[in-house]
Amino acid sequence: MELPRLQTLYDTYKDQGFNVVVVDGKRMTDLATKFIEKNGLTYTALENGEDEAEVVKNIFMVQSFPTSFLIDREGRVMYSHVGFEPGDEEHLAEEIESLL
Amino acid sequence: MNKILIAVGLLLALGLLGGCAKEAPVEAVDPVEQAWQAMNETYNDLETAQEKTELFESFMREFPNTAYAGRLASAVAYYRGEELDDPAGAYAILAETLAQNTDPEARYDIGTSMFPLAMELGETMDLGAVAEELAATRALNFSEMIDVADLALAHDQWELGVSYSEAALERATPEAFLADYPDDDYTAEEAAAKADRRKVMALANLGWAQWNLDLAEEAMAAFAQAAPLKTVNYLGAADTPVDLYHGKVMLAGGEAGMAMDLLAPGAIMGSDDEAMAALREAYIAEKGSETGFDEWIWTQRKGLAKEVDTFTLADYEGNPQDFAALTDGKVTLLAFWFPT
Repeated sequence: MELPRLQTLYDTYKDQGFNVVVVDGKRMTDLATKFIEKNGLTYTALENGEDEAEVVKNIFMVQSFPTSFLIDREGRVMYSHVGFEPGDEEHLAEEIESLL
Repeated sequence: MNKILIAVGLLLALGLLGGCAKEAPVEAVDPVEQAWQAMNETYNDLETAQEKTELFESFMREFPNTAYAGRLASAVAYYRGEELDDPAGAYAILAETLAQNTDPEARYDIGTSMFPLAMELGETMDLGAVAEELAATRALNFSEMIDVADLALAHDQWELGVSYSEAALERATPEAFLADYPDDDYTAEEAAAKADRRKVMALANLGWAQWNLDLAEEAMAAFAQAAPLKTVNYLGAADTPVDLYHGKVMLAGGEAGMAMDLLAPGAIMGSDDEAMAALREAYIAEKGSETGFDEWIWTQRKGLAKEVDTFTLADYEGNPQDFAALTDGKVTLLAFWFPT
């Protein structure tokens, strides 16, 4: 996942009620925190739990990374994406706008 | 690789046995290893795709006949071919490296990365030959077989698709799964589920390839065998291409309504572009025109959408964060990643 590209989306839409939450599925805490700091990411970053607290596979059945879900204001998952290619953020921006 | 290690060990042993007690033996440094390590250190500081691919390419040009050259192939195909949108440039460096590489493992890695570029550029390339070279040295694992089948199907090489799908199907057993992952602990139940998933993937590919070779009955039998074993993702879309290929076959066979049912979950909730294109075609076949398609998709999307589960996880300061509270009344992008 190109997390810095999500920062751009977050900066663009956060004042209209848009939030970004990322979860490190592999609990690579050192690398993750360095990456977040280096790239100045300001949205919510969480660490996956272990065993029963594991959510990425147990709840969301994620088979590969990156996987993302776009959730509307009522809490319904309206879009999902597997992978993140260059240019995908434009498509994502349209989807966000359709829900705002 | 083992031979090199033995040779290095022998040199060190000879140096020591030779009675060089007064002088420390000169450490044997493998220039390839040294360059690989230096490259990895440099890589961490690079920002752009251009810088990254140039670093990889300079290593490949200097050491084309190494296992490492194979490991860099997919990165060059991605960074130069996709990010820099220079498939011809990526193809050229990979073809040059392949021509100089004699290691079947590396040749397989280079070949599979190069094949889509070759097809895109209208070059001829025998993907099956590269896979067979490797198969002559060791048995291919399931992932390799299904990768070759996927590549073949993506570029209309149906016979190759059938043969590698059939080979993959033979490895769709719990025993073969466990043999592919000897270092991991899987329960019998997990291995059985993984084997079923493999079966669905192999049968889906097999059915699609057979259909394209005019083996309609065999194709329908493959889909019928896959259907009861199918598994779905969080949003209810198949997590294998079985519904995509089955739907495309239904569409081609004139069953547009059935095709729409099979294609809609993957197209709408699986972000599958191929399924969406086929779904659009099925809609036109069923309704007579494209009018109303976007509205229909939106209605389907609302029907397929599910309420997101909530959870609590810690942030990097150790504070528990309740997902429901973070998303309350907001449009939220929830992304699962890992740092590379």
